[in-house]
Amino acid sequence: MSLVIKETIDSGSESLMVQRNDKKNCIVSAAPCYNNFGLDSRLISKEGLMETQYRYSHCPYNCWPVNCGLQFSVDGEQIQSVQGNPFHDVSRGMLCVKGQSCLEIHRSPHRLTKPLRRVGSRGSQNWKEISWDEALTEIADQLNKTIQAGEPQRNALYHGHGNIVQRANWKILTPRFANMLGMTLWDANFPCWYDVGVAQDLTGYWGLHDPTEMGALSSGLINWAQDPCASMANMTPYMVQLKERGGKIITIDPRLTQTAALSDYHIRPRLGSDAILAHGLAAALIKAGAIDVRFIQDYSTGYEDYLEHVSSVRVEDVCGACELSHAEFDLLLDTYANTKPLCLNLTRGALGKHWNGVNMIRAILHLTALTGNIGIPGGGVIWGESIEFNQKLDASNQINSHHLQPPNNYNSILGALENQDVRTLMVVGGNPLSQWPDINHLKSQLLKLEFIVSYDLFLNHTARQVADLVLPATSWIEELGFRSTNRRIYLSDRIEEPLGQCKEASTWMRELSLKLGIADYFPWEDKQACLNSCLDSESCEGATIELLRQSPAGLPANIPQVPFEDMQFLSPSGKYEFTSEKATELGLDRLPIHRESAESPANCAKYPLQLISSRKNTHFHSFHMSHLYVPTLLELEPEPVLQVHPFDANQRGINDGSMAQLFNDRGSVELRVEWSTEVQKGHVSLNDCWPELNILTDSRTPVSPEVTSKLGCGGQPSYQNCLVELRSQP
Amino acid sequence: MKEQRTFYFDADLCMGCQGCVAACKNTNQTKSDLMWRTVHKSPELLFLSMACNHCENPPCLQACPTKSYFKRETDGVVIHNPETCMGCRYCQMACPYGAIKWNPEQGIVSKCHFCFERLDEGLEPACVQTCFAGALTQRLSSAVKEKGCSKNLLISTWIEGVDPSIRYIQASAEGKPDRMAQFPPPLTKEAER
Amino acid sequence: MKRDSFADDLFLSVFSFCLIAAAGCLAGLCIRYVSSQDIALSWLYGVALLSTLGFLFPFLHLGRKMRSVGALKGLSSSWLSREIGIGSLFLVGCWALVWCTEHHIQHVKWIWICQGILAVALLWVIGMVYHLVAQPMWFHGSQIYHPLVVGLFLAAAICFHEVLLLIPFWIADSGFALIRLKRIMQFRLDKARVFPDLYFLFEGAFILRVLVGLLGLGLAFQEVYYAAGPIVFCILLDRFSFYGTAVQIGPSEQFESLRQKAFAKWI
Repeated sequence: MSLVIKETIDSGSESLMVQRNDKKNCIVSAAPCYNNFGLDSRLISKEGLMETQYRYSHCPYNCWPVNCGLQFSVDGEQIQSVQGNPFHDVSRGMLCVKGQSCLEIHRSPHRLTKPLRRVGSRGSQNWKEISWDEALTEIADQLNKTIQAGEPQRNALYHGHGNIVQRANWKILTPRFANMLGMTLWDANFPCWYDVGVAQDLTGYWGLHDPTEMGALSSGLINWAQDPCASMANMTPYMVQLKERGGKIITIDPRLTQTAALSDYHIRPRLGSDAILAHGLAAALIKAGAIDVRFIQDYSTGYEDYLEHVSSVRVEDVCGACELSHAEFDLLLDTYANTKPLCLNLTRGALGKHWNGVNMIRAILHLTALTGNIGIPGGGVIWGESIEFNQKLDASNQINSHHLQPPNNYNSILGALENQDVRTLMVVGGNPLSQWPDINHLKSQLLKLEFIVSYDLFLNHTARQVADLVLPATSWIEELGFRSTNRRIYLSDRIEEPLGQCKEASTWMRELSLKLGIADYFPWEDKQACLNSCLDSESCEGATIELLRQSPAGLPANIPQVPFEDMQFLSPSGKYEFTSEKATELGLDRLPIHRESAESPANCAKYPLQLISSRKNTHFHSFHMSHLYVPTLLELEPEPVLQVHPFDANQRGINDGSMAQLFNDRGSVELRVEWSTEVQKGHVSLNDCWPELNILTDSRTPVSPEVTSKLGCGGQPSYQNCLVELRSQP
Repeated sequence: MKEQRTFYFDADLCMGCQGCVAACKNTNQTKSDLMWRTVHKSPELLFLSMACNHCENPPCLQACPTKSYFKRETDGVVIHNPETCMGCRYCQMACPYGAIKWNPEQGIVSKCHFCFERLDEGLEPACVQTCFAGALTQRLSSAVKEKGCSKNLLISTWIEGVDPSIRYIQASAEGKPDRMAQFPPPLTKEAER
Repeated sequence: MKRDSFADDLFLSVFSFCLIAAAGCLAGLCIRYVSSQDIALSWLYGVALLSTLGFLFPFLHLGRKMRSVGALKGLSSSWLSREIGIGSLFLVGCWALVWCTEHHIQHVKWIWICQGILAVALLWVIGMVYHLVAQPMWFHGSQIYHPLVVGLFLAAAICFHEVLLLIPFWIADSGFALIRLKRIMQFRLDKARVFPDLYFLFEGAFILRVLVGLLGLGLAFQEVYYAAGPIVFCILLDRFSFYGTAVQIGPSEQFESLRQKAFAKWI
């Protein structure tokens, strides 16, 4: 089979990219030639061109903002092989190590196939197979205990990244279920990006630029505390494209990451000093007059107070506080001043999970605004998803304000557990006992709950330790759904029948809601009709499952060509806010301020090492039981390995490759140590897929629940502020 | 001069994602612990992705007592025949690059075969096709010395007389494969304020 | 690549020890026969059994034993194929000699001469099998000819009557051993050894064999062939240290070496 991406045929008014079978002398699939910048038209493949040899879906991980497209070779209903979707607008047929091994998840012999009921104590691993009806009846009985007492909010539902794989589940169908039942709804936004969201909300600017645009148009890219090569590999070709066009890439990160190694320059500031650095750059830019006066005058507010706030900052102090040289500072200054359009790839997990994250991110965003990089092609910030779906279906209008639901903020969540404000918990595609902080304490609180259900592909860490009931999940190949990139919508096709007794989330939610007397959770005749309703939004502009099925290259969304080019910001003033009065009302800082975190070496001599989490291509958080059930990934990353600077290791008498004990007041773990200069002295780093990390991390959460209630974001625990000590094993 | 399929590797671009390792496994359906390709890492995060180098004078081919290796005339790809291999593992001793892997379940060895079936269909090998950074490429080469390429990288892989078919693209090399042709052209008009 | 277990190589050490000992022994017996001396049947049985073991071990080691019938296809290029060919003939010849001697068959001189030639050829081919560019420790003259040298040392102990004639063989054998020891020590810093943690054991074996050879010489003053026992032990030590001091400098090893060098300053 030849795959000819570049060949186009003119078919009436349209140009098509074709995939041709030379031996059979026919075209087997066709997709529109597209251009990301609005030049294509909605295109449907011609009848007769399609053979049912390929089916299309998306990678089942949740790399963000873009997931790679998958193309399955099928023989009847059986998948023969998987490869990248060559028509995908971002991934272009490429797949990372996880995408390449994704069939191992679907075919894993460890997949749950039947509902299980705990027999014996929690954590005893004694399970009994039961029927779905028995399982759902028991769940209904448990939920009803509080629903009928008029306290439905004491039933909580947490859905993690595993449920986000299907966008319809994440955005609409799971919230719809929880809201109709009056349940408290928590989701994986809080550990992931929520404090970054607060920062963006306070400025009114949400980024929304995409990597393909960066590759084609930007003159420079700054990865600020972001490692896309590890966490979103499909951004890499666009960074390479930028370089090959003569652009410049700078990575700002205390760690030597894969992205830093690919970049032209790598700046390693002291951990947690990002706000100081950003303020220093702002002061220097203002002093040099390298700012966009017109943007500031016409499209921003609060600049005068901000100017006063940063004007006293001295470069010498900044360099000292950030532990950078003047040359490094000057490089950044020169880049911000003279490189345009300059794109910023903005942090999520690194700075957002920091005690001072909101302020750091606001300070960094202000640099993009100051230099006039907002709302221009190739500029702005790569962050966020622009395509929205039919949120009217999420039943949020049914949330009863009298039921005090603890918001999706970790202060509230932990408080609700500690105070027993919630009685039951359903964990849908999530894994708190691997990914939430301070696991030992968390476990003791979860054990106070009267009833816990886990819905997952596998018996994960949470299910094993605390669940009473476990429900078997379908894999993404067994569900009909849709995904999107920054600019296009794609089908995620249902290709095989569910394994064993596995059910989709919306299926058992429908059955459960009927048991609880809710008749209209699923008013559609089938999943396809449901998804068509979900797609009924301004962004999706008439996209339907039927149309998506005919378009391996997806359908373009109705979104602005250049985000925020209309300069209409999502702030109270409608302008970009350097100073935020809204912040004051919320009890936050009016202007971004540097603060040393609660757990900082300056404050604690007992635990002199800073533990930070890292990402590698071979995992996605704790998916699939920390990839223990994906043989290829396990072969490449078989165990937790702590990266320690040779100086620190040698001081403690710990040899390269030996086992050591990492500990603080919250717990202790045994890990293999790898000597590495990827971390600086005083830092140790562990990949975030391993639960060992969160035995030690801190659950302190800087943003209050009140902020989350008002803004709909905020509440990230300060995972990245964690002090530890290390000693060799006897 | 005879043409030889040659891997070209650009260490400036490789970010060590190991997508090539998994693509090879996925395409060739090798067992979970059988990796034909390996990505090596230096302390400074320079990476090297290497599998079989399809040497011009393959030590494995010379060493094999059962003549289970052959080198294609058309493009010099070295292919192992799993039907005649007796599993003596002598080729593993003979290979300077650790490219030959032992399969204990089948009792034979196996190695990268340049995805020759894909090549014959006009496709790229799986590892090349999946490389996000474009660090790993391949083409037919008849040049002994190529402008902008070197035979050694951070480490020494060139062995005179073995002549491995891998070249390292230097930073300022001319004639790098045109990867950008597959991307759509940028807008020519910039937004005006 | 560093390996944790020497078990697999121990297996290979034993088989190659058997072949070298058998070939060296038979070369000596051959000269004795040709100079009209009696050859005890027990010696022939010993050699035949050693040869059989020397073939059985690698055969059992094969992943696909039934395919070993194709092992002679590579005669044109593969030293292993040649070893299998010569060794097969040698093995058959050993049992032929046993049978002939047992049955007092006359006129077997030509079998003895062929076996003698095959024995020397086998000793040389065994050296060439390991002459691989991928194995820097083995890819050296001191390695190619060492099986021949130690095999002839054994042959000399069996067929000579004059102990002083053994001395040059001991010198040659010890000389080759010490040259190899010098080469192996250069790889210690590179950490390119397959068994880096056991270096003291294998390096010690080189020195021990020099002393054992000397012991053999001492015993030879009583009866020359008494040296055969210690020399056979030398062959065992030789094989043991040969496999144990294997070095690889492929990409994995070179990257590991880069790591060691980068971190050396922190130690």
